[in-house]
Amino acid sequence: MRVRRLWQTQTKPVELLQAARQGDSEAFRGLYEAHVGQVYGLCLRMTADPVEAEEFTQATFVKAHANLAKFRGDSSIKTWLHRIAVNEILMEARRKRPELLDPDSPEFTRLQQADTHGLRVDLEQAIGELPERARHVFVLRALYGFTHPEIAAALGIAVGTAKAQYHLARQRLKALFTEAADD
Amino acid sequence: MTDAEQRLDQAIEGLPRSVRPGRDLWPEIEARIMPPVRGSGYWALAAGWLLTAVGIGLLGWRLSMAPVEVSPWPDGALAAEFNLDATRLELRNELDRAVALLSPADRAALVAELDGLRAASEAVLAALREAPADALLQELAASNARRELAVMRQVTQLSHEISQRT
Repeated sequence: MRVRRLWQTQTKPVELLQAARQGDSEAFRGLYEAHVGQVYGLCLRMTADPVEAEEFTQATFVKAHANLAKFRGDSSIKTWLHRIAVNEILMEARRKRPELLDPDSPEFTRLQQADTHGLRVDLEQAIGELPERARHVFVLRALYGFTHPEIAAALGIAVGTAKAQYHLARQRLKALFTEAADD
Repeated sequence: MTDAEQRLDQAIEGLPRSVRPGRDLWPEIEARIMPPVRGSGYWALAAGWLLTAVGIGLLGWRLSMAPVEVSPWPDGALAAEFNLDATRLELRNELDRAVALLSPADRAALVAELDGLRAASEAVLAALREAPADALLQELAASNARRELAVMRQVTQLSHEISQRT
């Protein structure tokens, strides 16, 4: 008879967390199995790169495991994992020092008015083609429920800048739909 | 809200938040979060010790016997080449130094394990005394002699690694 592992049972997340904190790797695997899809989805949308997304997903769970004792339960495990993932991605982004798109810059305007004629309405692809900062803001806000103040704090930008980047992202994506409707 | 905005919102709503990665990431995560297995080197040390004990015991037994038909090396040359008594003493000292570096709990576990292994080794030797003409066992003795050299190197290396870790 095959032994049913802890992570394959219907154990509650809180119980898994408790057991994982006590060093039970099967319990931590339970948490992994329950949340890997969300974490990978977030990483994939943030990076627009499946390989990088896998690396950040792994890094997220490794860091979560190392910090299990520090998790106080003020937020849900999902939110906590999302924050770790975002931090991991942003740390790497800061290391690469990307240019923050200034909402007053000509590039911002150009992107807003970009000729998207001929592009397929593939939202995933379109999100992936957003400027990195706008993509980060959009993914966090539109897909994973972060508030603008939370995004601003995570990205180290002003709330107004976060809103502007979100607006930019929406404008670009909306333009794709407009063009598609016109075709 | 324009039609395009509505369609965008619907499309956003329709995107799955959860996406399974294309491959299982758990094995790599597990490898990174699991601490190194404590004592694995110690058990290798114990296994090495057992092999060496058997090898030395067999060689000692082989050398103490009257010459037999199948003899891989001249007995005197074999004893001189491996200098068995000195090797055994050196190996014991090396092992003792490594064991001294262990935590009390690990040391107790290792000593208990070694006692069990040595008892098993003696039982094997006792069985061999019952069948001293067994050519296969003689071949095993010769093989163990070669293995002995490799094990001695392993014991020395493990001892060195343990010293470095501590």
